[in-house]
Amino acid sequence: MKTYLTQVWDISYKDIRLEMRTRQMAVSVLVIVIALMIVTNLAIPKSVDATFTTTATVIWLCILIASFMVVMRNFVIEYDQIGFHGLIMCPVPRDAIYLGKVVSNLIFLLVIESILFPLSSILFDVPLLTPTVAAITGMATIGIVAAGTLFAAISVNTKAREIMLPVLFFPAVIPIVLAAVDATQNALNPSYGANILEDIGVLAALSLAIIATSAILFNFAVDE
Amino acid sequence: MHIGYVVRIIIGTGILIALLGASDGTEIATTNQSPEANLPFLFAAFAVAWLGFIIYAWYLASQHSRLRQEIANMQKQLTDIQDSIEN
Amino acid sequence: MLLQNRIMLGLILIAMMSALYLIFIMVPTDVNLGVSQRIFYIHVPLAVLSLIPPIIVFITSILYLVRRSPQWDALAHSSVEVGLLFTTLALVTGSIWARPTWGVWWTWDPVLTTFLILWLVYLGYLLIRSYTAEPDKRARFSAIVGILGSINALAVYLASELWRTIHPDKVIGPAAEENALDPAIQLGILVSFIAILLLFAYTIIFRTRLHSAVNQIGSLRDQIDDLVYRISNK
Repeated sequence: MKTYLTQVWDISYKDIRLEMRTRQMAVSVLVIVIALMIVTNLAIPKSVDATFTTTATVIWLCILIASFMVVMRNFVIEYDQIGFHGLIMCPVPRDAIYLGKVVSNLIFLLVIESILFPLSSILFDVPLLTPTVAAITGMATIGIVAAGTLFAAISVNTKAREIMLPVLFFPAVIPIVLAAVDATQNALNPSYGANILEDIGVLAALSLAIIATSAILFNFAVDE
Repeated sequence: MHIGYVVRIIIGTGILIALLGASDGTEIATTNQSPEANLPFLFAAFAVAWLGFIIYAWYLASQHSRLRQEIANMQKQLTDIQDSIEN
Repeated sequence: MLLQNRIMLGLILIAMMSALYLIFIMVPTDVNLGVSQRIFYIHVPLAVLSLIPPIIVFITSILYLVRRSPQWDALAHSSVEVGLLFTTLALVTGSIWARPTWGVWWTWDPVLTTFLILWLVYLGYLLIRSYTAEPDKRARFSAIVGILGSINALAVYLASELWRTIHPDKVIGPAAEENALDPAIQLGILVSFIAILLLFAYTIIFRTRLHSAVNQIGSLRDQIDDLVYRISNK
């Protein structure tokens, strides 16, 4: 068990170290997502009163775009540098590779979110920096990243990867995004009460189901 | 310009939706009007259903004839091989 | 084989003719909506039958990944194609039915949302088949996409039910019907359903046979090319 986790961490650490050297992906994703958030904020008319609803929607849209780019970038680098075949030839179980990729994508996305959330707190004037919102975001991000990693692994092997990933990824994450937006709205609403734990529980169950299914299916995705 | 069949499906559905949207001003019959006032909608629905099936049947038929052509080519190649073996 | 085909087509013809007769002659006209209510008799079978391909795709994709025999892949591909056809028709005829009934072309209630996502899932499946070059990778990837897609359609339905029921009283689901107790209407829907079900089954069987034939011809072509190569290099 300990060796398995070490293997998973080794694979993620390689990606993290690579990213820390160049910081290429983090910067480009952050710039795009912040620009998107500012534009959406300006696009919403002043007369709209429901700040909580619009905030939740805009944030999750931006996180979705960011996760799409992160996940795509992660596998494209592997594939283009022919590192993918080296990775597959590792004497490591396939789902350890998958989990390693998920962990590194998750860390990238959490870093991006940790910049995005304070920014939206300021821009939208809503209390986003609470433990509840953090828990919701964490759970939902795990699910989004799990689905995205599997679809990226598939689409990178096809002739039109920029088309395949959105077509596969966006319909697949609709349930999580629905759940996350609803939970975030409820968390921002001060009069909601203690039912928020139920929402977080549902998100956790959904993400767990997605990771389990994707881990099994990843074995078939990279069979050589 | 070669357009794959999936892209044709997308374009076809887009045209259908555009046609639906363009006919948005049509009058809807309510209780006071005659029962046949909504006939254009009935016609449109059946026409779309039949068109859908006919287009798909056309696609299947074209795949079928492509296959037969391929089989004919292979038979010819086989006879050529046999001839070249005998010689 | 030819006799089987002819019997099947004959049955479809009889069923379709009876359905058309029932839909246009025997069924009473709806008091409120007039004749556009008759769209229901093709819309309901189309919509119900387009929920069967996800089940077929889910089972055959798992069977393909476990057993790797190409017949399961053929069946999965055919049911997705036929499913795409039926879902497109269901969405469009439903939209046309909805316009005089509810006054809008589209609402975002759970059933309609699920059908739209199902349509996108089918499209994704066919796209990945188009864009993957190697045949065995193609079958594997589309099996994965098929499994995830069919689970996703179910998940989207449940998610929309849980988190998106904003106007619960606005919509009657496509299966609910006010004067459904009238025997002529029940017979109409039943016969329509049988006719379209026969059409559905025949189309899937025919498409699967076509797909298997394409596979066989592909492997024969490889054998011939191999022979030619060996002969020319002797």
